[in-house]
Amino acid sequence: MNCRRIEELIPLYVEGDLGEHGASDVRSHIESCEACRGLVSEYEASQAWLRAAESPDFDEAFVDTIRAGVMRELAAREAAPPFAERLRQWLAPRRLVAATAALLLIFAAVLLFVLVSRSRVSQPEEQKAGIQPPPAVENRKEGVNPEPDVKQAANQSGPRTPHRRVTLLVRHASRVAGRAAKPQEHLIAQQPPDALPAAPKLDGSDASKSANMLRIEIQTADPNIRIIWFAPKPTDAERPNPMGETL
Amino acid sequence: MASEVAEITLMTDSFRFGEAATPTDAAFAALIERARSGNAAAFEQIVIRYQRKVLATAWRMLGNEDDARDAAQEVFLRAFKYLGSFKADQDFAGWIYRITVNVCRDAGRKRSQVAFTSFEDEREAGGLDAAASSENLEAEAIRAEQRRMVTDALDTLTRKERAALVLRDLEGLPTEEVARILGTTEATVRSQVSAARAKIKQFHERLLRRARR
Repeated sequence: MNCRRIEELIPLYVEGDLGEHGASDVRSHIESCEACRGLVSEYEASQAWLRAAESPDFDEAFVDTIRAGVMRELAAREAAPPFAERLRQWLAPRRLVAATAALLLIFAAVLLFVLVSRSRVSQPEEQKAGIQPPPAVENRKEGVNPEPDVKQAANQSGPRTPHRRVTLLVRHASRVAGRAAKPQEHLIAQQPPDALPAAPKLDGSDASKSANMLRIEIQTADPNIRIIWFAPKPTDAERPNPMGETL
Repeated sequence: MASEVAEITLMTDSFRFGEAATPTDAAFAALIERARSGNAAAFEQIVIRYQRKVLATAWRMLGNEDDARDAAQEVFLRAFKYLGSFKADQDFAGWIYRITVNVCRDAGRKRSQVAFTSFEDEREAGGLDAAASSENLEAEAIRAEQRRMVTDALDTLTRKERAALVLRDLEGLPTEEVARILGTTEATVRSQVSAARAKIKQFHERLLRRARR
């Protein structure tokens, strides 16, 4: 075995890391090779130097800081368990049920809020487009008293101005009538209620109110169906062009 | 963490922890069992029994006192955490030794360079025996200087070479145990310690040449 091969084995040889066969080869080689024998001596010296540097003679108090630190940390962890442990405790069945119920309640509340908001948004849009709740439509037949519908129409007076309300009613009536048949606008008439033969009574026999109401009749394509509205008369200030605003 | 547990459970009862006696006696087994069930007082006794040895090993692996102390604390905290995976037929000393190596390896990864701690720094940190008299102060200074040199020499090694050399030459573990601890083959360990010894020899020769000038 040549020196180059032996030089590779010497670091292992000095610490007994070679097998019996390898160690025997090195031993026989260094007996006859001074350079390799010197190399073995160098390795033995450096290994001895390495081992001579023992770890520091640690102070007892310093060593005990390890125990103190460990026990302090363990106590702190016991007081505040790690996240996984806290999560597991929190997810105990009873709490899980409560949390699920709370989540469902929140979800239901949010859903309700969204639905209400949407209905509020769509209602003004419908009003802008001229869609009104169904007015008091009377299927007027011979001998039928229209008083209940009149009452309903009279009760619908709100913050709107009278001419505006009449306009909306007429437009809605046209739309409703158009669905069933073509509206016959020539049949729409505005007449004082007292000019009509069968003027309905408003709230019983309140004549002063009756004088201030307009009667609007719409004859649909069906001769048996006639739509009648009663609305407050427009005031003098509102009289010029009362329908021009929306029609 | 799972790999850590797997590594720890690889330990066998044939492992020896340097000079620390392998606690095979029934009293120690009972102590471990109590600690496994969460008894902190029992675990404290285990810490007291092994803390100096763990500290010394960590110091060899890391090269300075503060890092070694922090590593030693982490070793015992991990030991407590994974005590449930420790098997009764395992060697506890070997098991905790394995954790020490893993902790020091992690600590070595975290820092780019091993910090050098001078003798004065060690004194200030209270790591050295404060009761040392003025007569042996000089001897202690010489030993501290020697430790510093060895630490510098170990710093020339790669982390793997250093771990293999410390375990094999300074802790005196058999090659097969070193391979098991490091999770590698015996051939690799032999290669690593061979390269490490060569680097230590070169460092030592440079010191000698400097001393002769």
